[in-house]
Amino acid sequence: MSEVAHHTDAKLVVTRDDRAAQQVVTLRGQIDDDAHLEGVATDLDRPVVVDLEGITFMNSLGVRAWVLFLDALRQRNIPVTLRRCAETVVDHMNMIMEARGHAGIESFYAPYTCDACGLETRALLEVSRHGEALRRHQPPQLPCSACGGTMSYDDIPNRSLLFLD
Amino acid sequence: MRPRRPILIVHGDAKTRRLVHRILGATFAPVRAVADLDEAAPDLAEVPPFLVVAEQAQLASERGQSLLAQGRDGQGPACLVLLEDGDVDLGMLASGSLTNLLTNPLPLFAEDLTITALKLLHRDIFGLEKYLSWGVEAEVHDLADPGERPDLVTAIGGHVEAAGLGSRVAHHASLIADELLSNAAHSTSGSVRLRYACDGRYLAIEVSDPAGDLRRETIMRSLTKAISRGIGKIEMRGRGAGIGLAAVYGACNHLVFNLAPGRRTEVIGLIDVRFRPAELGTTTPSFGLFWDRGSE
Repeated sequence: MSEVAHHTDAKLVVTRDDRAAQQVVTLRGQIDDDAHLEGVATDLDRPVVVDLEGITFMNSLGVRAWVLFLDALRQRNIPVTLRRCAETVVDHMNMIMEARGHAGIESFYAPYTCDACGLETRALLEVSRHGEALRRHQPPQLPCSACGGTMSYDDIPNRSLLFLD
Repeated sequence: MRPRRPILIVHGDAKTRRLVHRILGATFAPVRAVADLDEAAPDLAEVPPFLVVAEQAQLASERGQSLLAQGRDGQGPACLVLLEDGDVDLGMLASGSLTNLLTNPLPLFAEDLTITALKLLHRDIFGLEKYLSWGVEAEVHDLADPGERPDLVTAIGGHVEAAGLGSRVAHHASLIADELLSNAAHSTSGSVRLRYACDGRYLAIEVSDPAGDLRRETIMRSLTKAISRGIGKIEMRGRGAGIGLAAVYGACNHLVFNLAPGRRTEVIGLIDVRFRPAELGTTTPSFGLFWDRGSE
């Protein structure tokens, strides 16, 4: 059992948990010009889950660093599952196919708005639960945490769910 | 006396044609509205328009392609497509012949259409103020050192979120500022200026630099990358990843390039804060390319 923290720079914290059958890598902070993830990939040697909930910002050079990270794992035939993808990561995956690469999607955050009280929030969508509807580009309605009303998906599915295709 | 150059509207739907005519007629520029480019041919030969506003199918025709080719050389009129539904023709976009695309649904595009026509009519293209209501004051930051960029980007995101515009708008504003500042800082040794302001309709983020070397081909390639599916968009080596402008376009509702080659580059990202994406329903952002042709 081991848990290793890499601090690639002050803006991005990378934590690795080796205790389960799959290695779990958690990224928190910004993936930008200063992100270098190749070293993180080198340390992985079995199926990996990458938790992206804590990503607050990702720019174009960050996308490149991320793609290089995924590609290093693909070249070594290491399966990757992306967990709790932040919206900024989803945005880039919709535009850049390599930003998803060979990874599977376990869950991701999506924008939701309450039809009754107007609350704008993000909701975590599990692909195992909603996969069929998401593939039809018909994301589910969800209960509002503020008023109990109905929240609707607040983006254009034909554009914002392309990364699941 | 030389006749004033008109605006030409080419649209097959009579109701839309009349509506657009009414909007553009209010600029007091001469307006000619026709159903197709064949009907417009005599007018095009006699007094060339400074702006052609058309539905996409008209510009995809042989005569349309010829008209667009003139624009590509910088000699012909600005060519604006009103995209009411469907996708933009990627071939037309990639060839670099369109200068403006408006994708907002009726009647929302009326404001942008008027602003576009007035910028061209008055040959006064610069400044985010043209897209905002009277009285709005912009925040101004000069970036003397590229190392200041991360703090500035964090600050604009925080400012936008604190203003109540929501985390999604804040994130997009940060991304737009970051990529535009990065591009500008790499293209000039001079000072780069960031300005942003909001009038309750648009949040406008403007970055300008005194280098003026942003090329039409670069812009069109970036816009195409943003709305096309496929691999190979990223440059895996070199200073940039080649997707910064594409990311900016994807984060905007309307992206404006104001170019004075060799003298000034100004890029403005506009985010609609009145309507959420699902309400607008547009899958392709609008864009505008404007050239400062000085005193020609």
